[in-house]
Amino acid sequence: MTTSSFEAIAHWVLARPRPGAFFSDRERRTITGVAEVLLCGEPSKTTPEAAIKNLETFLLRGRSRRALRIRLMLGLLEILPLTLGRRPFSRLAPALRRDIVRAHIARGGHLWKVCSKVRQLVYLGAYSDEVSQSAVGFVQVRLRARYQALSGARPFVAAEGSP
Amino acid sequence: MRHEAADVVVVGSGAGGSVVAHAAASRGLTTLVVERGPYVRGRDMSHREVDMFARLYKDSGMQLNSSMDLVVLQGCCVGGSTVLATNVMFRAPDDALHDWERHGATLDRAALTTSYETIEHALGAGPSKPGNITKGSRLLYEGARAAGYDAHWMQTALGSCTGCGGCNLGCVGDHKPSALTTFIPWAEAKGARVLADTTVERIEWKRGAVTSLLGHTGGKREPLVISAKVVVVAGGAIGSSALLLKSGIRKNVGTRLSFNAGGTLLAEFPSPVDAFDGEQMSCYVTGEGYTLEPVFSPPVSVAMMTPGWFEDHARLMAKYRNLAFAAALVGTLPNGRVVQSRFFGHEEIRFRLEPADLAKLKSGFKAITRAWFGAGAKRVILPTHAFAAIGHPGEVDRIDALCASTRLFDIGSSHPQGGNPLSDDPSVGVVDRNFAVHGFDNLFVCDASVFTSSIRVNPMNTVMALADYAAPRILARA
Repeated sequence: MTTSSFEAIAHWVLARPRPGAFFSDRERRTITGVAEVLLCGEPSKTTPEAAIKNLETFLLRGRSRRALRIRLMLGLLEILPLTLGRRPFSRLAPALRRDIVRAHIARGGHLWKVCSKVRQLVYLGAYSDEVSQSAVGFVQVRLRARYQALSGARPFVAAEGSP
Repeated sequence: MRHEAADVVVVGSGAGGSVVAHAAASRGLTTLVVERGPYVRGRDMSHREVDMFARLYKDSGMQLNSSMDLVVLQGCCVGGSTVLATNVMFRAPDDALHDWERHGATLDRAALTTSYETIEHALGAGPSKPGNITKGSRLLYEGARAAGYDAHWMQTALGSCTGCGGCNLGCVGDHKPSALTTFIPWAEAKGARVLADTTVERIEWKRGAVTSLLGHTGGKREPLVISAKVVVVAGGAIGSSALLLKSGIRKNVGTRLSFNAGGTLLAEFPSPVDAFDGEQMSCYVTGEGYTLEPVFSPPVSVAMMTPGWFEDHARLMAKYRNLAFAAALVGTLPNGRVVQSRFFGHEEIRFRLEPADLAKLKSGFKAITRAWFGAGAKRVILPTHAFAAIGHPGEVDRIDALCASTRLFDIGSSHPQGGNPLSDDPSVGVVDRNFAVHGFDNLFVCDASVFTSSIRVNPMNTVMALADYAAPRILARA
């Protein structure tokens, strides 16, 4: 199997995203469904939809060939509840989604463990804006008194010479 | 089709490639540096984590091993991983270099010491500025000493550092002496050219000599052919092995891959620590087979590293100002391997932590836990998938069961090493004492991939010193 065949198969299996999007509509529903239950109670001020938008911007900007695996993981997560006799993940009520995340994804057995990586993706999106960062007490660098006093420091390259 | 030619082509612009490129340009050789990632100068960097992850990290920071239980962070930009380093200036321990020698790596140790001195002088190595040391680092240092461990302040090379705490995001304003601010511009000043956003896909060779490099450049992936008298592969551990494998150079390639791998333990303190405000790490603790280092980051990284789901995670994030992290690092056995996956079409990292390394890691976890309690922590949270907190120093031995297997907790590494081991024994090594690929006249490797085994400490200084040591041996062929 060649390089292009895997990518060709993946693109064939996965629904096509809209122009300018990383996720297909179904994938976005799946991961937003995770974010809705995962971010409940978090100090982050970011809505689940905004968190996923932040994540999507990050994934579009990056250059990772491995990012395709995230889409495959979401496809898997969407259908895994079928093995429990449930509907696809994004079509479950929030309480059921929460139960599945808590009982299966967080415990990480077999294929569920693969899906547990979704946690990091949701948190990445949830804490990547300044409002959420301020909400946990982080002080932006430009606002720190010590940094303001030092921000005129010379770049290193101007201070040193070649050996 | 674009054509380029040079006396010396260096594939990769990180700790190894930048130093060799500077040496080549200093000798008046036409020098071309090819870098897969973008050329992002300090004035174009920001403190926004997601932007910098996407622009500066290989695979946007999402590189995992095949079994998906080890995150491997590497730079992918001009300057390579040095752009993202905390510039801790350790030298390789003697016993690590002895281990290299046992496996056929013949080094002139006196010359290597001189190279260390050259690099440390060039980068301005010295103690951290006291005002830049975070409370998190001070707590680990004091807690470790109180618990009877061997704690030290680090030698770093942080130039005109402002203590913003964003070393892992590059360096806004170019205050840190990375390859991006030192050897690369110094090489350019001497005539070297840097081709960023350029990927070498394959080395063409015939009868032990490289004939050309094939790849593509720019956003439109314009096909590129490069010819050179000497080719130095310096794409880092993993990347360099991948390029050789894709080029049909297979003997021992990808073998003896090791890591400084570790897990981070989080401490919750009763009052704010504000560990984000200052250098990311300033002290270290040594123990039996492990090194402990403090590490702290802005909220995205902390949210991703903080264990727990739902309320466990939320409660900790709400206490962000009261948190401090420390990592236990072990130099793993060199049982890893870089392979070229036909299925995925790119390199894959095969690695599992051996029981002996796991035992060292657990010892490190216990030492961190005792150190954090020695510093007054309320509780210590383990990096386990199932949320696990140690609430009292007397519970430290629970770590044995809670971390009994790497299936139970997360590990990561920013220090992959090996894959193209240095050894005069062609049955072991990929490169010989002159850093030439066995059986080749004009193909060299010079980066962390030549490490015969893990050196157990932050490797930037050693990669740069080794490149300074290797440069005259390589360039003698040019």
